[in-house]
Amino acid sequence: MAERRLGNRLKEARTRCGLTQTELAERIGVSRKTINTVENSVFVPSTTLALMLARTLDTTVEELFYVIDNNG
Amino acid sequence: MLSEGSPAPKNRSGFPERSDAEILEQLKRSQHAVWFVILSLMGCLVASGAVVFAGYVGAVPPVVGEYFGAATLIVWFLAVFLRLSRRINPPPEANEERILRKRIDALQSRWRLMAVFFVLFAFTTTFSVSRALEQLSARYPALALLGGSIFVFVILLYALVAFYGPRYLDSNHRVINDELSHALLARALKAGYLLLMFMVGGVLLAILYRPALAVPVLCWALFAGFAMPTLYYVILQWRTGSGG
Repeated sequence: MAERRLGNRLKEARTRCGLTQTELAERIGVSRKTINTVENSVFVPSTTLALMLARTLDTTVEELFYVIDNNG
Repeated sequence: MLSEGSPAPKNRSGFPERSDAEILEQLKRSQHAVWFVILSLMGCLVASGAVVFAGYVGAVPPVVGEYFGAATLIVWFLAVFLRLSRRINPPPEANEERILRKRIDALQSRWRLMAVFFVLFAFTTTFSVSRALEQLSARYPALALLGGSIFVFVILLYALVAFYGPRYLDSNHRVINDELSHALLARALKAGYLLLMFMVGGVLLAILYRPALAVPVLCWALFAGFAMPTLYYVILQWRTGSGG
């Protein structure tokens, strides 16, 4: 069965906007660790957080996140 | 539009509007002042104690030692309340949600330290209470029941610390339990539940094997039920997202 993971382009979008993890975290109102773990695909954000990230980085959720299918 | 000389706009608390940076700066100054007060008090206590001790051993006349020992503390007290009392107060906006959100990392870090202290306090409480209850239960069952009730009450308070996580600091601080904190806390509590079930099973076996062990084993099981998930949560928080 295919195992699905959530990939993201958060780091690229963040650096394009010229923001550090701390600055992005402050704008959204979460901890820097949250941003860091989302970027490293350690933590899967909620829909609300994904939408807030997309809005803050002036992009769409589909641009930021994508599904990786690992056929195992 | 504001006309010249009109008062500055005020926020909901009735204080003049200030930028977040100004509020955070005042908060930082207030925290520095608090640290200064604590450290200077410790310094003064040491100095005062040294002077009194010098009087006690005869290095200076005892009256002089006592006089200067008391004078040091009085000077500290006056200096703090005349110079720092206003600076110590945090800004009135410090507990507003937008300011708390900007301080999430600092508040979570403070909570981790507090959680470790809570575990240490719980350890010392359990260590002393388990021994005392073991001896009391044989001779004075009523007194053991009273002591045991207080111990259970204290341990349940500690359990609330573990259950609520960082927001235990203050109900106003619930914003610092962000998504990641919630996820990590859920993971720690899930592991804690499993551990507790194993421990209750172990306690039953221990009591069946040696009934005299019932009191201390139950006390330590209650302690572990609080300490293990709390420490696990602290470790999870430390480990996650430490990279830049």
